[in-house]
Order: sequence, then structure tokens, then C-alpha cells
Amino acid sequence: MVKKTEDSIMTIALPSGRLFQSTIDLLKKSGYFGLIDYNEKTDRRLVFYNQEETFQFMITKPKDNPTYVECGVADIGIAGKDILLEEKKDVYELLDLGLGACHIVLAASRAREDVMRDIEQRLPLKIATKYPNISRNYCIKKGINGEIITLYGSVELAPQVGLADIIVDLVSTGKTLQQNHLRVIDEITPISARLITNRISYKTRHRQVNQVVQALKKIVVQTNDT
Amino acid sequence: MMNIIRGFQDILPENMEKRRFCENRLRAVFKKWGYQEIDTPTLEYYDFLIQGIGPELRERMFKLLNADGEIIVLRPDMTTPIARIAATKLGKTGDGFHKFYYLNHVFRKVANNTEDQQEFHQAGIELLGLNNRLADAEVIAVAIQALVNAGLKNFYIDIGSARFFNSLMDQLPIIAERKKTLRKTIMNKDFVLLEKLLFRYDLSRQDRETILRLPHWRGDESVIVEAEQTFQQNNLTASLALKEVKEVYQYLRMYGLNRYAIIDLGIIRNFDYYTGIVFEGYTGYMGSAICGGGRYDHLCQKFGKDIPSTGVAIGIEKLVRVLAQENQVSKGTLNRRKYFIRYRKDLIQVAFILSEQLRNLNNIVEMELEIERPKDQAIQYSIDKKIRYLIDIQSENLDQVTRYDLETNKEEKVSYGEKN
Repeated sequence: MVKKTEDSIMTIALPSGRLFQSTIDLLKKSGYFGLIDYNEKTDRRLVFYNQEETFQFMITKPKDNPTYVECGVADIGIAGKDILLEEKKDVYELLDLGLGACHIVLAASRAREDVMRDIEQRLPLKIATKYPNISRNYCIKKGINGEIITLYGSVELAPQVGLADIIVDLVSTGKTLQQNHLRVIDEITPISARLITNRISYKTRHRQVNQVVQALKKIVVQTNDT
Repeated sequence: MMNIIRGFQDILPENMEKRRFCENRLRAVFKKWGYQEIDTPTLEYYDFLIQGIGPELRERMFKLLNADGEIIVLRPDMTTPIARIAATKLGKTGDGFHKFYYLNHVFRKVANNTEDQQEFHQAGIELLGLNNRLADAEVIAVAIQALVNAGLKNFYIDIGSARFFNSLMDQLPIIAERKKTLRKTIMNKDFVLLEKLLFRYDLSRQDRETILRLPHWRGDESVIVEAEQTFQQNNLTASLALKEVKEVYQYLRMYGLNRYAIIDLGIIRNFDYYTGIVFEGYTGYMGSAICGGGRYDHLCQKFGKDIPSTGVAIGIEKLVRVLAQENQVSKGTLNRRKYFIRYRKDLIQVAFILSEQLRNLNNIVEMELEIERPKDQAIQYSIDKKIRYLIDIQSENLDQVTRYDLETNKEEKVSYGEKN
């Protein structure tokens, strides 16, 4: 691990995949991070710098992003609220970037009333999800007698083939749900990408971290307005 | 197959030596300041212990059933059992004060997947029976000296105040339920939600900014001066709390330790537990604090007696890791107090006598146990064990013993005869 002081350069962990391009666009648009030259299609580098070499960027799996930040190898990260809720990392949430906005929902193939009746009667319901912790907390809050089945993806498949009664999953347009004959029963929580930092960077580099927050805050607000 | 429980470690000699090195260096400082070692049971009654343990730690305790069906726990920290002892086994309040130190292991279930550790070693002190700033400053001074003595170079202790934070919360013109939500949000470090809540609760611009600007109050004494100007008019408790922080900082200056101290009014610790000065230490090598502590005046009361107290706990595993990164732990030079003794088979008794003689002079002496092992193998073994001197006994006469210095590769004749 590299030693971090006020003088050494800032390290930012970026999530690969869905959020990557929009994150890069956001950083570029802010004008604060100098010249960023990275082509998602052709580049295979996991670590790169802006042209002025004032920022170091690393590309992480979205789910790993808070881990790099929590341990202090990255000063700043960008992570979906779903991951932060699920993993309970010791990180500071600084700013709602508004990227990747969607919801975590409860969805089922049966009619809403049927599912609600089952829930009220405390009938056991099998829940397929990538978010076992969020699902468990939701069940406790709503008094659902849920049995949680943790999957790694394509959760929509589970109710169709009888692995589960309902699912807890991320939904943005609702298209995947529709095509798999699922409908939203309840919206559990809204999700979007957050700017995060660890407690030590937040202290020792407060000025720099705050400048990043302010630089991004300006354009995040603008984006929301338009 | 996994043959040990997740989060528990086997510690092999090399790492054990590093840990003991740290522990001994910390212990030496605790003792020099007059703290006395104390120990508590590894297992305690759940019902009794939870009186003093906050909800976060409560969830992370290892719970077991004993033969009588009672719930018992592995201690999750040392402070709570020591508070229990202070409240139930020591003299009445007003009987003066107690200074304890401990070096022991505590058990906590992993909080998340980043830290795969469930058994932790902690070194710390507790100063029970005093509520003044001199006591607060002493605990911080001991923590600094202990870390310095362990060889740590680049570290800082951030000092803040739970009382200051609590007074800001108390003063907000909102109902208790909402204050609780705000506190929880700050504890979770979710500033996105915090900002939303501050608007939703219709707080004045000034109140909002005071809370959101808390992390900005960090630096030397000038921070206090600035903060005092802000709070002296409208919040008496806050300005009293600021005076306390200032006093502690001034004591640390008198100790000559203020270069390690930073005032941080935005420090976030468990504010339900701490009541006054709080602090935590960190280095540039790690994303979390290496030590932490503060004043917890209400803890002993939960066990039946009101004893104001303050203390610090240092994480040994973290310290060892940071020292390794700072390259402060001994880097493998051969130890000049370590000897290895080879001998001709028939001279084994001479070897016994010489090794005992060297041990009596405070050396670490190993006898060859594999009789007639070739010399080059004996040398390799010695170097692996950081032994500097290899003695080869080839005659009964101890006046002319061959001694190899494995550091310099020189051979010399040394006299271990009776005149020594």
C-alpha cells in the first residue's frame, strides 16, 4: 500500500460496467480532473492517470468499489447505494451523483392482492435476490415470513421456474420484469450512485476531498435540472 | 478443508515475535506511567455484560450456552469488564483513582467482508475515578508515548469532544425522534441523507451549516479560537466543551507532544457511549483508526457505581501491520545475544557447561541437538534463527574456543576459561 499524505496524488476508484461511461463523462464534464484519456472499448488498463498526473484512477468491480475505499487504497470511490446498503462498509457517503437511478423492488408473477394476502397471513414466501441483507431487513420491517435464496444474477428467472415466489431486485425501466411476466409489488428503496470516501482520507485530505465534492455537486445539480 | 475457525489465526514464530515486540514496548510505557496490569475472564454472563455494551457491539458478540443453559459471551472489549470490576470490586467513590492497563484478546464477529478477523489483540489503559482534563490528557499522552516506543513514526491523534457534538444536537429545535434519526445518520456517515434530513426538518441555515461544517473544524488551537467565536454567544455547553478540548491540547503542549495532536471537532465516535473528550489515532497507511478512546463517565454506573473514567485501546494487529509497512520492526539482522553451540560428540558435557555459562550472562543459547550434523547445515540453521555466533567445541580446553561471527564471517579464538 502506498503512503497517503496531503502531497501525494488523489486516488479515485471507478466502477466498471454499467456506471463506468457515465462516471467518466461526469468527471470530464466537471472540468476538475484535467484531461482523462481512456477508451472503454479498447483500453485494458486497470490503473491510469489523468494527463496532468494529479489523479490516479483505478477500475474496480462495482461491488468491490467500497472495499478499495474502506481499506484506504483509494481516497474516493463511486458506488451504487444498493451495494452500500447490502455490504455495510465503513465509508462516508458524500454526494448523490444521480447516476444509474433506479429502484430496489419487490416483484412477483402473481397478482398484487394475492401476494399481499399471503404476506398478511404470514405464509412462508421464497424470495430470490442478489441482496440477502436488504431482503432480510425488508422482511423484518414488513413482517414477511420470507425464506431468502441468494442468487448471483438473472433473478427474474427464479419465479418462472418455481425456485422462488417473489424476487427482490434492481429495476430501472421495468422491461426485464415485463418480459418475464413479473410486476412490481412494492418499491423498497430508490438507488443511485454515491460518491464515497474513507474516514482517514476524509480527515487528512479534507480540503481536496471537499473540492472534488464541490466540483461534482455543481454539475450534478445542473444535470438534475435539465 | 478449513481446519481453523474463520477470523481466528495461528501465529507462527516470526509474526509472534513481531507482536510480542510491540506488546512489550507498549507495556513498558504503561508501567512507567504507573499503570498496573489487570485481567478479566474471557467468558462473561451475557445478561450482566450487556448492561454496559452498546447495540452495535452487542450484535457482534459471540454467544454461547453453558451447562446450566445460561447465555455467556466471549468478551468483545476490555473496557466494559474493567468498568464492571471498578463498580463491583473496588472501594467507594471518592476513594481516589485507579490506573489499569491490559494486554489481551477480545472477540467480535466480522462486521463486513473487508476485515476477516474475529479475534483481536488489544493493549490499553483505563484511568478510573477522575473527571478532569489532566486525566484526559494523561491517557492521550500515554497512548502517544506507547506508539512512539513501539517505533511508530508517522501518526496523529485527533482529539474532539462528544460533549460538544451532543450539545449541538440538544440545541436543535426539533423533536427527540428526529434528533435520534440525525444522530444515527451521522453515525452511519451518510452525508447525502443528512443534508436531505436537515432540509426536511426545516432547520435554519445557520443550524444546517453548523452541522455540515463539523469536519472543517480540524487543525491546531486556532480551530478552537474560531469555534469559540461561533458558539460562545448561543451555546454555553458547546463553549464549555471547547474549553475542555483546549485545556487537553495545552497539557499535551506542556508534555511536548502536541506535534502528534490534532484538534478535530468533527470526529465521529460512538457518542451514546462517550461523554467528554474523545480521540482516535491514525497513520497514512490505513483506512481506519489504529487506536481510539475517550471519556465514558456513565459506564460504571450501569454496573452500580458512578465512577468517571477515561481510557484508550490500541489494536495490536493493526500496529504490527503498520510497523511492517514503516519498516520499523527489526529487519532480520542477526542477534548478537544469540549463540549456537556445536561440539565433538565426546565433549557434550563441556558444551552443556558452556551453554549454561552463556545463558547466565543473559544470552539465548541453543545446543546442537542433531549430533554430528555437518557444519554448513548448522550455520544455515543458525542464520535462519537470527543467531549471530556459532561456537565449535573441539577440545576440553575452554581457553581457546573457536567462535564464528556469522554476521562478519570471521573466525576468532575466545576464552571461556575460569578466569571469566
